[in-house]
Amino acid sequence: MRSDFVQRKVNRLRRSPSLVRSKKVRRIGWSLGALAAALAGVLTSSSALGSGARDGLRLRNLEKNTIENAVGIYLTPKGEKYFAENLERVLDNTGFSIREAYFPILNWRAETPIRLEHMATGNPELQATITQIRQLLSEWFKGLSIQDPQPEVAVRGAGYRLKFSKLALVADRQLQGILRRQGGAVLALEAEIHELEAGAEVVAIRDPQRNPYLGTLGAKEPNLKMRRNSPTVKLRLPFYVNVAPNRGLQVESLPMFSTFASADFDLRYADLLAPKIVLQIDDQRFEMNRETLVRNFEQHKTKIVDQLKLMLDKIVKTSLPETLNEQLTNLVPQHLEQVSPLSPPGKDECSSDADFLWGLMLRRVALTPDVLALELAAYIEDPSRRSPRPEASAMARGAANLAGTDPKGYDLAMTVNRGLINRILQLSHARGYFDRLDLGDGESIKLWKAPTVDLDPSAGNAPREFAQLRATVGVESEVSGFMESLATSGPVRVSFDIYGRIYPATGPASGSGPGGGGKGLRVRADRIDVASVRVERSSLSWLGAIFSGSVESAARKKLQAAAAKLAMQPAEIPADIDLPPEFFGQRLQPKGLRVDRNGHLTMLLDFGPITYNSVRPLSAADGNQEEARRLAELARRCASR
Amino acid sequence: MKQNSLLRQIRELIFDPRAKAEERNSAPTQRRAFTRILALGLLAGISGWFDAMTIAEAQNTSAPRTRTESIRALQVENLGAYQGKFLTVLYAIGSKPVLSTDNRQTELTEIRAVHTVPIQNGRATIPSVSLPIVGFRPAYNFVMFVVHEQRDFVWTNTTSVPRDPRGLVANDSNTLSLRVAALTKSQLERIAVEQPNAAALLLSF
Repeated sequence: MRSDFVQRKVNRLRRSPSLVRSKKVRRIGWSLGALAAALAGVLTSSSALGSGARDGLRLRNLEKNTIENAVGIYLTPKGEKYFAENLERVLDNTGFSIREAYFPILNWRAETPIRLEHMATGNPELQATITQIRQLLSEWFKGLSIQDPQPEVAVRGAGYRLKFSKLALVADRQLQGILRRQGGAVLALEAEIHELEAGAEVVAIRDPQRNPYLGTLGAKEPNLKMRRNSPTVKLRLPFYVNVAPNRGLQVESLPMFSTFASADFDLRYADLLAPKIVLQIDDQRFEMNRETLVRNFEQHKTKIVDQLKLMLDKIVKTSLPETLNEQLTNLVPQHLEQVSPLSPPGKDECSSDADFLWGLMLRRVALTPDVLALELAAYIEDPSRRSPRPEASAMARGAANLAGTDPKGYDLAMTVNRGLINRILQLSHARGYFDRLDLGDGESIKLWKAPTVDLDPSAGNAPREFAQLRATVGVESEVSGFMESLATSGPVRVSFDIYGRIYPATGPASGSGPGGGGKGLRVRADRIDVASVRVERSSLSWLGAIFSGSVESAARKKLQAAAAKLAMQPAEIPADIDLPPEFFGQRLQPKGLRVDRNGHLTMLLDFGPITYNSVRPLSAADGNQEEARRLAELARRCASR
Repeated sequence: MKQNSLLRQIRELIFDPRAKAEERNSAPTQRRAFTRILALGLLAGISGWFDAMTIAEAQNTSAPRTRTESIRALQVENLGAYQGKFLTVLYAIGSKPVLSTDNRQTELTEIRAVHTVPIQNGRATIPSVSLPIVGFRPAYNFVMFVVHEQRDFVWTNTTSVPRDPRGLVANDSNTLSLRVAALTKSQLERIAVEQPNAAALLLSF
């Protein structure tokens, strides 16, 4: 979706990319802001203005540069409790109704005739009676022969309603141990139903193909309801999930448990449907007594209900897992891939430039005593242009590591490979979003390469609160002075490091500094490492190559002022970053941040309370009103352009 | 396409006469059909990765009674920044991705009802709706609020376009939005409980 009120303007800018590049000058803090936005962008898009969704349709043409070990989600036993206590809330976000279902019409027809004798399997006496009646009727009445039926069942307005005293998804480490499954995870859906009602408007059984004269059998408004004092129905549906290297995703249903048979049900109906049967002797007609039919049915109702319960119980325990596995083989896609738009960091909020697209792919599921782990690979691409390849040197140096964290202290840990952050910065730079740094006093320098971020555990002084980061920035600067100009073959290109920190911003929005103020994460640029200045050799003349030390010294002098300013007043990025993201639509609150030596940012998170997003009741105080005001202001600003 | 293929599979599962040979001439065929319905219901519930699952077959000539869910009118306030623009409200079935923060990332699989109204004096009023309940699906699970410049708006997902109940086709201009917000069904139900006597639920943007 694109914002059309800026469409024409943006189209004009697109036709003239140099205009975008030459006119925009960014502040020095902005570079860190871009890094922060990139972090946010790794997992989400927070732009208010929809754009790029239609560009997603071009996904098929994208070359996907996959980053392995990109995102890790580690649910602790404490976090698993959330899914044990709030599963219905999670299911709200999947569009599946477990509490009730309704089918306007269900039709079923036997594929082939059913042999009459098979209808009483297990009851030889009844079988013999059926055969005898069949023979008698065809012998004594002309044209009245009972064929093997091929029934059609029509159920109109069928539905059920359930009420749960428990509905939970749990990780079953004990069963996993018993089954000795290597890798993957055994999960179980556990339910306790204290109210159950199933019914239909009409259930009608006919046999128009084989025995049309039998008319219709069935009932109007049949209703099966659990009695008030009935024991609750307990259900347990375990399943095994794994991602195998060559076979992709596997989901296997395991033997289930149910107590349907011990529950008490009441069967009611408005009327029975039965053919009108008349016996005629000469001119005398004798109609079948419907009252006897109803009485007879009532006498056998308890038996019918018991049969239904046993059938349901047997289905759940035996044929359901088998059928589920049959169908899972066909239905579960081998490779799960989720594609979402991602608002490019550095993009003007009023711009309608296409969003990046990012895809997540499940690579590994594992259940350990400490966590249920989901490890995902990812790609991020720009659908509007040919993307540069990701730099191998910008990736994490290995897998994420949770060592040193206490799984009892948080619900969920989420790790992000620095390669993802750097990929976003690379794509944004390729679009020309990171092109200049403002050094103050009207002086600016051009970024000649995409900034890269490294996460540095050795630099952090409070690892539970901060994640220290080092951004390497390459700038291109016009040279001044006779000697320097002789030493370079044009603008000089230098790289230097900026140190900053990421921290969770919690508490009242008016607060500031680490640990206080707003929501989500914040980034603060602390210092420029002037000593880290390196001059790009290719930008030096032969003379400059000889006197590279002098050129570097001149570059350091240039940065000195900006560094001193930053040291006096660390640049805090004003906006909170909308991280962490929601997990299956559930809001998360940051509890701590850390980085590991391999270059992963780890967010330690708790599931948060339900809050309204940007639409809320008029009287609500828990809505994000600050965000709503920001968006309204943004709308005014963009509209005025 | 994916949805059509899945629906075809489901229909074949339950109604297809070309069933497996071992099922032929066996008494518990009816039970198998029921097991399949149960199984498909469970499959639909295991994950949002599976598409819409509707087992209803409109083969009978007389229409059955439709079960519906009614939602009161909505009055959305604080839209002053969007004077003269339009608000489209979509009642839809959709899902959130594994990771998300943005309402735009909600994937709508089925749009059940859409209303577009002009924004005047900082507010917009959406009339009440009555939505059918079919299959293992709620009447809706998301209400999306979209502010847009053009008179028409068509929702597009990241990689697909759900069918618009009004028959509108997505193009370059009618997919543009200024702002997207959302409420889940349970959030809207909570608001309805808090405002028991209001003819229109009062919401703030």
